[in-house]
Amino acid sequence: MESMLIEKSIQGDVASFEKLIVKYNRYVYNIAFRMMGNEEDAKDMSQEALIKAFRAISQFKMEANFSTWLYRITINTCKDEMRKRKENVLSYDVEVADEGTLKDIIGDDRGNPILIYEKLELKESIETALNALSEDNKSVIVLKDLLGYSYEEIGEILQIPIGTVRSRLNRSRSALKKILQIQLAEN
Amino acid sequence: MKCEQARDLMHAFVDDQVQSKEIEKLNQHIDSCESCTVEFEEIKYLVQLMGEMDLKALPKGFEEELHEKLVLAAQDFEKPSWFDVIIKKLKTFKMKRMYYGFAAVPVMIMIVVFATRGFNPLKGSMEESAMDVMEYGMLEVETVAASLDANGLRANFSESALPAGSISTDAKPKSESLSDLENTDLDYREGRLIIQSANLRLDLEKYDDVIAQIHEMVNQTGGYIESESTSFKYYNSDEDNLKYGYLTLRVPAEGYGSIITSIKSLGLVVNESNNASDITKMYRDTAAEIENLKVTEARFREIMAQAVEIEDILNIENELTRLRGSISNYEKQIQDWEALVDMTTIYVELNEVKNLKPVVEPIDDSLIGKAIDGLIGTVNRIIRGLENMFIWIISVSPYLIALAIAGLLVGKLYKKRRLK
Repeated sequence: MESMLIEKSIQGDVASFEKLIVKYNRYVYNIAFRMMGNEEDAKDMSQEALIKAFRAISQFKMEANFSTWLYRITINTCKDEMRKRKENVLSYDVEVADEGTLKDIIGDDRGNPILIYEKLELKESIETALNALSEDNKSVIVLKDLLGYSYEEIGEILQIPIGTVRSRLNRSRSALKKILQIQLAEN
Repeated sequence: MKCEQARDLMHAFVDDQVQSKEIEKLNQHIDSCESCTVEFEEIKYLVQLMGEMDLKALPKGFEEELHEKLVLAAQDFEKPSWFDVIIKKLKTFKMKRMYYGFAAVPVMIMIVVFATRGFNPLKGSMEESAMDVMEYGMLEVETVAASLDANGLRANFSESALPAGSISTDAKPKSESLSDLENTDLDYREGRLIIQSANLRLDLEKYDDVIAQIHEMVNQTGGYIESESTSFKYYNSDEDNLKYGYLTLRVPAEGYGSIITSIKSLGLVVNESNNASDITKMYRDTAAEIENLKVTEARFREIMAQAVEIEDILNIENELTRLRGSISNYEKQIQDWEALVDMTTIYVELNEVKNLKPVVEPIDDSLIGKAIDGLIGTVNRIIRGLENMFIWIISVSPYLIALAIAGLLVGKLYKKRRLK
């Protein structure tokens, strides 16, 4: 079914492509939302990614997973956009990533344990904290913890080995936690 | 276990990626290390919270907006420039031709099936005409389906699809050539197209009379004589003033049967053969080809109107000339075929003889006659046998000589032995 739709899409059939992506639209949008951090950009980027996928669908290899391919395009589209905006958008994470500077900023290794905060407050903080992560770190967390993909799937989407997925995920979670602690302490 | 190791393991644990052995170690460490306990709880909580975060719904109008953009993109990447379109068109044009072959297969099968059924002599004429109608209907459906197939296949082969508009116009002429024939410049024939021809050889007594009669018959049917030649059988003989000759008649298809019957009645038919070849398939293919070329031509004219550069104009003009050339070639072919179908061809060979009635010689059936015949036969056979033997001996003489020499030597040796 899917391969038939793909074949038709290759011929430029918009309706088939729409049928093909209807299942993934929401995920594409959510990935874009998490990567970009706001709904406006998320809409633009997810649409751009889907159009890119449509244009490039003839290059899609049937043996690969279509959703994986689509998410890779989405993430790369977002990354490209963010790289373009690099001058304007500063990421905490880039500076925070280094353990030495991190300690200087927080002063204490841990700050207050996040367990002491309210659940709702935490959830809101996580949203903003996610935006402070670098693109690479953000992408693994979004895919693993928010969307629930396995290490293997993430490795395929991001085109990195599973070992890298694991280590990057560890690093990203730690970074996220630290950013959270700073944010919460500031409030 | 060190804290660093434990922290690595914690993440893996949250993701269910740890083996039970390691879980034990991790638990042991956590029990003994307070900071790691906090860290572990934090990570678990954080991951749990993130897991609880709901997926955002698509914003309003997302799909509609996307649809518009996709349609735009579809036009974009399908129509990069006029010249790319031309190149693609030319490429696919070649491909398509190949697939006409495949498309024609079901048509051919249908024709064969119905042709055999249609020719069934047991069927009444009413039934047959009904069959004809049905046959044509089925044929049409089959062809249209096949043409869609061909388009589908072709589209797969083209590097990227043609604009939706052009695909639809492409598909059109194929079906058009069958269903909307009246709308095109050239009126294509419908139904079966069969070229008929016949060969007749006649023995006759009065050559000149027969020739005159044939002329009259052909004129009556509205046909004509394509070629005629007459000559005497012998050059230097006053005695046998016999003639022989050839005629090629072109007769309208309706008069075909009757004229053959009447020609046959003019003399003794020595040889007769009929031939009918069904060109329906070739005819339809060619008609479709013409229509396709016309579409291409129209496209080129469109482009021509937009072209500005001299070089482009020249290129397009060349292409147009080429297209025109092949269109008129095909059209000529179609017209030739139509002429052949309309006017059947009859080749007549005439041979004048003195008397049509075969001479019957009295048969000598007496006993002696038979015996003499037998004797003569035997003598003849003996003579023939001797002749054959003589020929054989001469032809194999090289071997015989060799054998004779060998025989002599062997004989001599044998004699010598005996003397000893």
